[in-house]
Amino acid sequence: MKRIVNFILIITCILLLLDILYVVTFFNSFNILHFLVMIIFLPSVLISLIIACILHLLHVDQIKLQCLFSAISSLIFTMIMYFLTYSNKEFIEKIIANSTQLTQSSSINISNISVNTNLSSFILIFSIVFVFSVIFNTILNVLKEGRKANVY
Amino acid sequence: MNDYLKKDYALLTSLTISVITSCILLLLMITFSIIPVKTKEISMLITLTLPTIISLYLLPKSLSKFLIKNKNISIKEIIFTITFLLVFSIIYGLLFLNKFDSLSMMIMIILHYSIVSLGEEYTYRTLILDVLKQKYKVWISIAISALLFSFILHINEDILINLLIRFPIGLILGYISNKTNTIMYSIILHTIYNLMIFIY
Repeated sequence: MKRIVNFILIITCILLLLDILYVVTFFNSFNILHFLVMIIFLPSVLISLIIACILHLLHVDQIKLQCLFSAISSLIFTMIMYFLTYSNKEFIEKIIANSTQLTQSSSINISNISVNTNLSSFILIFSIVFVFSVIFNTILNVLKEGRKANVY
Repeated sequence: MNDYLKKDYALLTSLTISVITSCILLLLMITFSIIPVKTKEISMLITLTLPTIISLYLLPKSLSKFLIKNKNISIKEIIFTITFLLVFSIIYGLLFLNKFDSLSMMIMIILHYSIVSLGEEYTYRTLILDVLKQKYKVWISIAISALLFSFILHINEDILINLLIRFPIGLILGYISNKTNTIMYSIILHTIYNLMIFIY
């Protein structure tokens, strides 16, 4: 099981690095959809998987402790995201400008997009990371229990 | 999912359902907005109504098979709800038609808000509330589902409005659906509330 978790951890880290590389390289052409997928959802899911793997490697078995660890990690990640977004206002403005050209549709006019740096955006990021880390952790626990049952 | 998991993870399951459905709703809305359409009515149908049906009704409906016992809704209740909403829509149309661009737009908005109410009520007042009720007391379950409804689903709205308006509404709708054991009445109230808010 440890081998599998290590393998997942390495693959996830590589994917996260690729994602960061993609964002750094192509951020000039990013629109709101890219922003959501490549900067919010994908890194959040990958970070959750990393948190779950670390929890598993540290042999934290109690559910309450697992949740606490996930919550603290999610909070740290959310704070990092906050400072990154807060310090890159130009990048956000570029995304808004690109998003206005998102569609050629006559009926949809995306002209009032604003990426809020208020509390609610970061509650959402926190929730995503926390929820996914708990889900991945549960999956890893179930896998671990299954393997134990097979051994005995 | 076995009983142990169901009970121990009731709160986490509810939070998960709420976060995932909200994220899928957001992603679908933005993805579908890329589809080029000519009329406002079709645009509304594709970018707002369709994501709502998928993320707040079809997805929770498929999840409910694993998480809660199936509730049978009687045909009588469905007929009553549809009739009531039709009558309300006619009165609403007669009173407020001048506030809309066209008749077709008004019909689309009524249809959209009815579907939004159905989706939100199904996710929060059937699925999440029933999952929570397996572990917690009824009042705690209603309060948690109202909190998720106001602060996760409506996360893009002002926190103060969520606290002062949506949270109490969540409590009332949760109480009604729990007391009547059906979401039909809360769908009706929710639709009326949404349509009235749209006007004012």
